Amino acid sequence: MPAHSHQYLLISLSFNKDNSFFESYHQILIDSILFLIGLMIVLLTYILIALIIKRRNERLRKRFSRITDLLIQRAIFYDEEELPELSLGVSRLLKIKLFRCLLTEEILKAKRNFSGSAANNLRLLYLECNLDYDSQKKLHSSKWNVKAQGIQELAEMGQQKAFDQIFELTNNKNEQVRIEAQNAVVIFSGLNGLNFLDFLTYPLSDWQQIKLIGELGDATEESSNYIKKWIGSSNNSVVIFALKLAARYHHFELHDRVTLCLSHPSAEVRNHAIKTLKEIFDESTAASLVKLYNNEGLNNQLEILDVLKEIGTESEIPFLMNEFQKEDHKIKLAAGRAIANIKGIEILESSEFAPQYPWDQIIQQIKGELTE
Amino acid sequence: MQLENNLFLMKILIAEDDLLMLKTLEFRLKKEGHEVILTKDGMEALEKIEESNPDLIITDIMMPYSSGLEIAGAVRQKYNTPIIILSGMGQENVVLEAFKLGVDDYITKPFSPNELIVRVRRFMFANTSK
Repeated sequence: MPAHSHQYLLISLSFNKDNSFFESYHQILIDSILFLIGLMIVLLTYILIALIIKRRNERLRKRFSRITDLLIQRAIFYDEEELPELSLGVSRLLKIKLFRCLLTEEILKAKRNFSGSAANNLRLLYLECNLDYDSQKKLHSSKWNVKAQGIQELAEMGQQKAFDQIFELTNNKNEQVRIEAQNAVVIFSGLNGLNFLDFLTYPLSDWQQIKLIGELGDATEESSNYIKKWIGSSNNSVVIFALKLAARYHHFELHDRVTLCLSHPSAEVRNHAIKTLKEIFDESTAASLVKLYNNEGLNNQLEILDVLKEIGTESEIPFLMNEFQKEDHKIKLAAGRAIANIKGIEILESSEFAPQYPWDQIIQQIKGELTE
Repeated sequence: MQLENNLFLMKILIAEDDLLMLKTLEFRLKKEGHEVILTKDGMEALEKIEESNPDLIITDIMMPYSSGLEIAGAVRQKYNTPIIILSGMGQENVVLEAFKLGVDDYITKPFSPNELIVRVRRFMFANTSK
């Protein structure tokens, strides 16, 4: 075979090989483009359908809100005896889920502004339209936000019949559900509702404690026993909450129980025990706090000095004068305040270090605070 | 209480940005026989007060343009018109501030419309001595 034919054969062979590679690459490219176009069409269709549904729902909401407004006004404008009957048209609309959701929203919003007979009428409207069944159904939802919403609705509408179901949720793994359930049981039953503290395994946040205390009414006969039980809880946040309750209700009979908390392993619990003793102190409290002082960190030491300012006596003056000479300025200031409150500013002014810095500045500051 | 003497009836200006609240107050006060002027924000309220010289002002605190407290302050500089604050803000400092500005009553939300009517009636008798 001539050489150029052989070369020609080699070239055409290699060209064929490249050609098939190019074709398959070309095919992959086309397939990818078609796939992407298909995906875009699907996405656009999805977006279009979602927009259509959204617009439809907005139109429906607008139409429905004219009717829900009239229903709410009917409840608020009239006293119970004057209430007109619900029309047949409304009964038909109540079969539509969107209408029921909107009506529930509007009733809750209105109820936050009104009390007395207007609030009662709103509650009656909620029951008349069987919206309580929707709220109760939400308690069984797998979605935490729906559950929490159901709890809130039932609590706001005073649906005590749901108490047991809600109580079970007070130790739920989801924080929001827990918070709503805890608030609800306290709204329903006051201090008795706090029985969930017996088995609460999750921490009770500071904010939640403030909210619960805000919901609680006056102390009851049993409150002291409940609080005593919770002070012994293994959940530190429950102990702290119980200490706050003991202080709020001035349960002097719990003094010894609270004093035991001064040897609690948690510094935070000890801190709150110190604060509580300010409200329920007796003649031995100041001495107990002084005894504890040296074993505590700065935070708790300052707390003790703050409490001694209120409950300290002449017996504590030597200890306080000693602290007034310590290096830490915060300690100096706190001790100085306590001394001035117990025995008067003169004892500080007449001390040997009064003319020296920083005591002179501290004494001036305390003097200024006293004149205010 | 059905009133026979129209002298007891008042021209009441309401300043409130919540539409439901506005309609409720309008309905209840008109049911009592009073003339009601509605305003939806502080600026509109101040304008209407100048125009219409109402016998009683009921105002929310949190509103667009001017708050209820600003309205109370402005009114007290010129008029002795009784003012009732109707607000969700129940903090002590706000209540004290309102009374310092010269308001005559302070009702916190949630409130009972029946209670509001009873409080409004107090001013009806004061109105006759004007």
